[in-house]
Amino acid sequence: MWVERYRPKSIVEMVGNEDARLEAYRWLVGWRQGDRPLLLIGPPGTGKTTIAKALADEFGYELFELNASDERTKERLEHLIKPLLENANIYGRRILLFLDEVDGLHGTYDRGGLSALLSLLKDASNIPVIMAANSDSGEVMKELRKVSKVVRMKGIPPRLLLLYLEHVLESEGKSMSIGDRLRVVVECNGDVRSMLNMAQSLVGMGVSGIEPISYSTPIDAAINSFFAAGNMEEAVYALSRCEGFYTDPLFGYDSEKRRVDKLVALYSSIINASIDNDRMVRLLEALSYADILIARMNRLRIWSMLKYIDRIITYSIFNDSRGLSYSQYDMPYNLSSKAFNEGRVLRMIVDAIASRLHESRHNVVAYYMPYIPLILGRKSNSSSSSSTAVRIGEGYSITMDELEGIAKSLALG
Amino acid sequence: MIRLSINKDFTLPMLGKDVFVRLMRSGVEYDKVSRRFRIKEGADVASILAILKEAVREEISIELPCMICGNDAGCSECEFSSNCDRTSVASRCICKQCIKGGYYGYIEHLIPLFNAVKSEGGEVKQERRRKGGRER
Repeated sequence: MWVERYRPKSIVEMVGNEDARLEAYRWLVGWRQGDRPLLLIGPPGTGKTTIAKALADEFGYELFELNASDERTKERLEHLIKPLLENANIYGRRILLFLDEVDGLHGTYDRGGLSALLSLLKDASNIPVIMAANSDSGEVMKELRKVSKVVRMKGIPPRLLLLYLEHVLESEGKSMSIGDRLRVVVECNGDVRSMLNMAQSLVGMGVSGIEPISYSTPIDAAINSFFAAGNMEEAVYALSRCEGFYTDPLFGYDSEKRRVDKLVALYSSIINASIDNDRMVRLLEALSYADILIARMNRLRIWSMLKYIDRIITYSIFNDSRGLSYSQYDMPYNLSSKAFNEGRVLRMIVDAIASRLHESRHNVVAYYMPYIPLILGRKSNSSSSSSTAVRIGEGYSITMDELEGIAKSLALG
Repeated sequence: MIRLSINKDFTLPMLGKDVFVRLMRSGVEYDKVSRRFRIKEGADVASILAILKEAVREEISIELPCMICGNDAGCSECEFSSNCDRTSVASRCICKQCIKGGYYGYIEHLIPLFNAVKSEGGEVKQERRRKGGRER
């Protein structure tokens, strides 16, 4: 992938945001124990991760990278970062801690995660820490800004993008019409990563400037082309068009969201199709495998996997999906209202338990909820069942109605 | 139409205390001696533009400076002028003359800037050491 091949090795080789880069460089050059962490804030594809990697390389640090939007509970953060801080000095390693997407840390959902991060940042004064965030708003960012040196980054101006695109094309020995170059630069909205991905797919597919922009295909048309494709290559091409840039904001602006939209569109079409159960199971299993792959790729930022995704989806569902067409799934009213009511009761219960036990809602759902119906169901139809339920109810400050709601919704009552 | 250059001083007509305060809060600096304004690095250009538009009731265009030569990058004549939101992109671009030097020309210009930071940082560290600060 061009994105990885042409990721600048040093901070000087990047384009745009010169003042921000100099500021980050100055921070690490003058860094000493006790200094504040660096917080890079800016839209995707402006070079936040590249700055961290390039600085680590240039100054001989070992980069310890953590995607904070995934590893965000107090326990996980402490489990991963604390040993690193304690051992950093023992082995004499020069470690640079990079916490990516810190704005993904949810203040209430992941109860304890933000305070854990803030306290770890305090403890981490013996190693340089760089944090990156796409968004500047929210409680988490307000707290992090207070304890960090903030460097803001912005989208790259189109002319500088063009400069970089021409450098990459020259290095690759590829050509692209001036119309396509300008179009790619304009449509990537200051995002270098999107620009390189778009340019590579344009060059790879050999789409000429005369052809209307392949990216503007609406998702329903692209999915229909996929289902109607006569061979695998045509189907792969149709799928790749789903990831394009839509003028319709319904399909999301960034490529990560669009990748998920593509799966949702396929899923929706499959479950609405009148096909036998075995065929549907095969299709859904293949799709769930692709979903896991995409989520892992996004989480670990392994963009080199990108080129395989469309092929994996195509090769795994091509035969079974012939004859289908795009269809959007709308849940019938009777089902949706039932699901809504059950969801509401569950949320109330989770809130009550989380508040009572000082736990995050995520932990309650993941670790506590499975036991409640088990406890309720163990002595069903016996007189002690209701007393057990009452005790649980009293313990968690929740009513019998709510407990019955849990049991019913989990089909164990 | 008023043209504002980022990182360059400019003058404004008297706009009143309220507008002045709002501009200062949005990241504009005012030099009392020269009586000139300057948009600070990292300032919220979009809100500065909105305040000024409301105050002067005139079209205002932003002109980015060229990273290499320091002159205006020529935004009004740029091929991307209608697609480039100059309030949301980084505050430096490259002019038509300097872009001819290509990617390596751009990098060559940046190398001395980073080297200067490196040597300046080394001096700061030495100074801190002399003052007895803790150092890794």
